[in-house]
Amino acid sequence: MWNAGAATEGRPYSSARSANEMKVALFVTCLVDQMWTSIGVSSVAVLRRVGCKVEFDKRQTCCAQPAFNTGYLDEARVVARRFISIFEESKADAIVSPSGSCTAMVHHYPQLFAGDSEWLPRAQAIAARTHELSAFLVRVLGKEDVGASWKGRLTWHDACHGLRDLNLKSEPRTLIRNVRGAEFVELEYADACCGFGGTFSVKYPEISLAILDQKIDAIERAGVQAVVSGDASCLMQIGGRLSRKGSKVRVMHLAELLNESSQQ
Amino acid sequence: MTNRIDRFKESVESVAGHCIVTTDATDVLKQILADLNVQRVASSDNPPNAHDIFNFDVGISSAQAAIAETGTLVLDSACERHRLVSLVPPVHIAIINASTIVETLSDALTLLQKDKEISPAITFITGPSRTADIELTLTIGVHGPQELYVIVDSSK
Amino acid sequence: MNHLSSETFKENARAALADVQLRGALKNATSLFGERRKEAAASLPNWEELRTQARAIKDEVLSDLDRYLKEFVRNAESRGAVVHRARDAAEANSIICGLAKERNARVIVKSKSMTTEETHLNDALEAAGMQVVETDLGEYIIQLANEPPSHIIAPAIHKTRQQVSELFATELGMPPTDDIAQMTSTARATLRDRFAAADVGISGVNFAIAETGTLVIVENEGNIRLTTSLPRMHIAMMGIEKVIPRFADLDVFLKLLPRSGTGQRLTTYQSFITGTKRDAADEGPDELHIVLLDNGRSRMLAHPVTRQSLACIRCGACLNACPVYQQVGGHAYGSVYPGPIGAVITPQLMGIEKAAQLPFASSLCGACRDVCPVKIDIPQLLLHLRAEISPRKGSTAERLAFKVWAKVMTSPSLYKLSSIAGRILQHVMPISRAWTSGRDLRPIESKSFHDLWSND
Repeated sequence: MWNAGAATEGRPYSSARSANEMKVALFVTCLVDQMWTSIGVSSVAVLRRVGCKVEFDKRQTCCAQPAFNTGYLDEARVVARRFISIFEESKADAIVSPSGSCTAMVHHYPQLFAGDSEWLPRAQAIAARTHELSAFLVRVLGKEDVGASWKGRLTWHDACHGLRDLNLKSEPRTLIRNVRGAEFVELEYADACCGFGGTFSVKYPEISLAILDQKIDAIERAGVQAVVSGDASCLMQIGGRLSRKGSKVRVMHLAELLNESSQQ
Repeated sequence: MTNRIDRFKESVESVAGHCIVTTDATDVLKQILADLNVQRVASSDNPPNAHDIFNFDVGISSAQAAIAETGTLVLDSACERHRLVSLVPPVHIAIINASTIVETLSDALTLLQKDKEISPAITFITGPSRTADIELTLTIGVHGPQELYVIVDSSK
Repeated sequence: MNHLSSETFKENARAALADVQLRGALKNATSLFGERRKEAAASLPNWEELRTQARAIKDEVLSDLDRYLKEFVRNAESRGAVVHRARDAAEANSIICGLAKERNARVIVKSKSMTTEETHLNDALEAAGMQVVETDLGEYIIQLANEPPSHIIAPAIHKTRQQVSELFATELGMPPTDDIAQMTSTARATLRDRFAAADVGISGVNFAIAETGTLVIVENEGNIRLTTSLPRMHIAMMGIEKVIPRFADLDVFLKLLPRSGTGQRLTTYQSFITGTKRDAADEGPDELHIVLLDNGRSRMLAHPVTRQSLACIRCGACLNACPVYQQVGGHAYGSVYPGPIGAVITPQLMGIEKAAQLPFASSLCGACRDVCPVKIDIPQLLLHLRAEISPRKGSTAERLAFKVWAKVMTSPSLYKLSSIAGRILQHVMPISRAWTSGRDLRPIESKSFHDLWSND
């Protein structure tokens, strides 16, 4: 297990556990794979920049969350078993994903396999190795500054599963505050849901939009050029509405921000 | 002890009650009644019957204990047998002994069970009656008293 | 009339979203309650510890509820109370109607009680020819308006002062006013007359202490004290889950409940009622009847996952924290229990087929779990109920879609194929249409990350 206590002692550019030794298996998530590849590309670049060796198993697909959250547990188990089998083969020190939501799903695997003497221990082992990107950088590697720079005023939206299932609050903020040139402002109700909720946004689009508009109002009040978050799903929800409203505010995944090195 | 009385007083005032600490409770009571200029005063020592109580302006009761951290009066039916005097008239005046003030809710709960069976009716009172049911606007005095005076006798 | 059904949640929600005044009221109420709760919780250094203790006490009771109920019944009866057990709503209502008839009751005063709302007791009493008067100000307003409550602790939250003024003008002959104090004093005067005339008082219960047989009821207005002191008969209705083991446990719950509900340190009044009066000359009712309501609770108790639903102390904090409740309010749920906890309890009480939409009316954000004073894992319960509903009641298209999805997600070749198909079909699929009603859809990338990946 990683020594999280040691990680906090790390200073910028010096790691609690030498990143050079770290081999990381990337779980890119199906959403990023199909809809937002630059998040995956940026994640790889950032991980390499801090000295990790990154591997990507092309057999990977989805974490099973859509079925799990909609109540189709048999289907969720089929997909989760495959995830476990694929990542068990990896010799990497950690499985890292640029999504709080999908990481939280992997952490739910033991719940999905409760009472299953074969799969429960395997699910537990995989869950223990799986980290969300910002948590991996800050808690495991002790990296609070990855050398990024981006000029402008920006804010952070706490994606629900990252915040509440993985307790990610200070980690992304620390990383953002260390981006050179970026002026960070807290979003009002930063921890309020954006209204996405997976199939919820399709089953109840009107409610989803009404919730979303609270978030959009807060973003507009913040007067920022960009809103950053840790989940592509929230960013699609927020970005889709901003775009429909003709807003100039852009949405950016944390991995994308951390991969910026603008000299503007 | 002085600190505890101060804390109690502060708590009562924070919930819109009045609290007077005195060594002469009778005198303070007289003064309050004179200032209120009221006609009909009901006392729990000698209460009117249940239906008459609706015509009274002031109800005077004791309290068997009080809680400093919340400003709460504890009325125990074993001593305070008339529940309506502290409830129905628009003004409730409670006279308590300083020595009966305990620090916390937990202390008060312990006291109620100490060496005896729990009485049939125990009432905790923290400030005057209130509601916020219309537009969440705080309104003092709905079904119970609009004003609560607590006289703390610091000599007892 | 505004009695909506849980079966039409989607339509109810749509109507609520179109109601500008309602949404303004909801925003004010939920944010105010939310902020007060936050401050009140922060003022206690051991808040988290209290939550853990409260849940442990509830778990202790729920793991052996029969024993604690027996202990409660024994102690309440030995002090003069009469305890009745009701398997369902109809039985509870018939017990209470019977008691009231024996007393030849004509006027009945009631203080706020969720369980009597659950059984629709007022309808039963009125059908039996009795006048029933709700005495909590909010409940009185909605009774006059003939509407159900829209919030667990603030039942008339959806009404403006103008609406209340008009209602009181029509129903009580009050001269129209903007002054809330004036409206409150009109209600006080009208209700005092009913209190004086009442033969029976009916209340709910917040906590029932097994060790002593005590009922604990909390409030701010004083109407509960009047309801339980003035009439000669007091009937208290409680769900069987309201029992806690010891008197001393109140320390934990009386700290958590008011702070979670209204942000108060303590509500104005706590009544601790243990049996009937010892001396006939004392004030207070001659008779105390306690009705223990099951109505589906034993079913919840039987399953290790759903059992925690019964730990709820009805503080309403999860409603205020819920992004869905914040937008649609209580009526849309078509149940006396709205919001996240309502979405969990209603299908279990009424039967899944009557409220199958509710467990899906959540983004699973988890804000409810964060604020719950007894740490109920509401998202876990919602997921549990979804898993009960979807495979059996999900639409054929949905069930098929997830079967196909599982095949695709376990086969690299199908996954690749579907990503190509997705690029072509993305603009015509129904899922896209629901999405694009108010949002632009990000187009599928021309090359997937899989395509882009190379090992160097």
